[in-house]
Amino acid sequence: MVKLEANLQFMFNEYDLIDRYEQAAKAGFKGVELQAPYSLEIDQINEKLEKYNLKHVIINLPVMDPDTNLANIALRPDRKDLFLERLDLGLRYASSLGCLGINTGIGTKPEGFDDEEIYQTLIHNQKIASEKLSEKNIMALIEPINIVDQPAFFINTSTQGIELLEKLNHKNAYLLYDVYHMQIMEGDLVRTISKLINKIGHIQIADNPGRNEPGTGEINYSKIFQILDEIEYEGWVGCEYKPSKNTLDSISWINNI
Amino acid sequence: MVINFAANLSMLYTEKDFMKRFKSASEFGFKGVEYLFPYDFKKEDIKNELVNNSLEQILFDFPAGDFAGGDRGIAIFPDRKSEFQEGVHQAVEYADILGCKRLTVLVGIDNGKFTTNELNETLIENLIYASEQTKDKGINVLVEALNLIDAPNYFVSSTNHCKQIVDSVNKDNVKIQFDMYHMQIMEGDLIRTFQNNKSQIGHIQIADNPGRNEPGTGEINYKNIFSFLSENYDGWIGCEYTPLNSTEDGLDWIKKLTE
Repeated sequence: MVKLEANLQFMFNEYDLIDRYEQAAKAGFKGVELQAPYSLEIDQINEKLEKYNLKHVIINLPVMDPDTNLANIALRPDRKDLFLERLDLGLRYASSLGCLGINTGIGTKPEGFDDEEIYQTLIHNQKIASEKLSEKNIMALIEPINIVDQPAFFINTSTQGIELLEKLNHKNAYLLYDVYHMQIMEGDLVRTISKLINKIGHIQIADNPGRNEPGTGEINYSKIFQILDEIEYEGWVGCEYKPSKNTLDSISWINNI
Repeated sequence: MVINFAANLSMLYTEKDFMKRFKSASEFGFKGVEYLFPYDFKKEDIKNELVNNSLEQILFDFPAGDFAGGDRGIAIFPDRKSEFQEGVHQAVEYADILGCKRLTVLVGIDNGKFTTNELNETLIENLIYASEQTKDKGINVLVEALNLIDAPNYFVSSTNHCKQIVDSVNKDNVKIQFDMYHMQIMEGDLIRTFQNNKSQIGHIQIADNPGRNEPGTGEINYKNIFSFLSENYDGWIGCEYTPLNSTEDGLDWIKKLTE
């Protein structure tokens, strides 16, 4: 059976951020993920992880560009310094929290640069990230995101994700396959997951349309989980969805599946 | 929920000879049937099967070239226009007798001999011809996109391309055939895509993916799709899948997924 973990950015929003760890554990989760832990102190989080016996599976690098207020720090040819700064901060959190991976963040296309220059910047930044993270035994995760929700996002399909990984050519760089984003962009989920399984470092889920809990949309998640078992996926599956009702009630889908 | 399912007799009940499949579909409870081609059989014989089994003929395809030899339609080829036009006449003769109001165009496999522009223009020209030959009879002409894994180099493989063609033809009776199996392989995002193209979709076909078997065997949540369609679509849904085991045994998905 796949290992499900709770995304604390999306789930348990009924509670303050720091209290969501406890709620996730009480709901039965053994792992959590959180895009932005940076408003919390590392010690404060570690205390919760120990107390509730939780694995902090992944976090994201801070990706907001303070100049433009857009998520494009890994794409700005003129702000490679800022990417490095953010990488150090992310790495400090991830290694202290015992994370398995960091979503190194791609971002929306910045104005004023050509695509090739942006792409080369992305490769440059992700290479450094992959190398630095490998020293701490933390996976660097590349996540393609759908263009319905984020129209100018730079990497949008698993094909583009794999192409980027090939250009990076670093054994510590992996694909973060978000089933929700990929259903919007390309479909053919089972075949794609099976084909790319060796390149996939982490999986996230939500149903489509709506990004609510599995069972609310067009994706048959019992089949997806069955396939993940069959191909012996060993990683975690992050529940990155917006509960359609309160979080605890939304969790009943796990038993239904 | 109320959904009009049509049995696709090219893929269901293949345990039996073609002419015996009508009775089986009717006995199960289907009210409508569709299939690829009627042309190997006499119009009157098929008509008898429809009448005797109280079945509506929902759809079949225009002649699509040498299907066994690999053709998947001829509508894109500048050098086969007269063959296409002859096919339109043959299809209309059958549709007249069978009372069929939907005819599907398979567009063809791009064989590399013509430019994309030539293929698009020929297709549009042929569709305008088909439209003119059918519009007074209340027949809709449907264009179907196929997936490139099962039909490599098939010319129309996305809803967008299909819509562009239908827009360029600009005839009220030329519409999109939305096959959820093909489109799940090619693009996903089924419900939103249906919503965005609703007014131009003239027919739906289904199968699960991967495998093209019964709904419920793959990655598509057909229970939710049917519940959505029951409120947003009043046309027919063609069951165009390969039964995992026997046709009859596999049909329990209808009850399970439409309750």
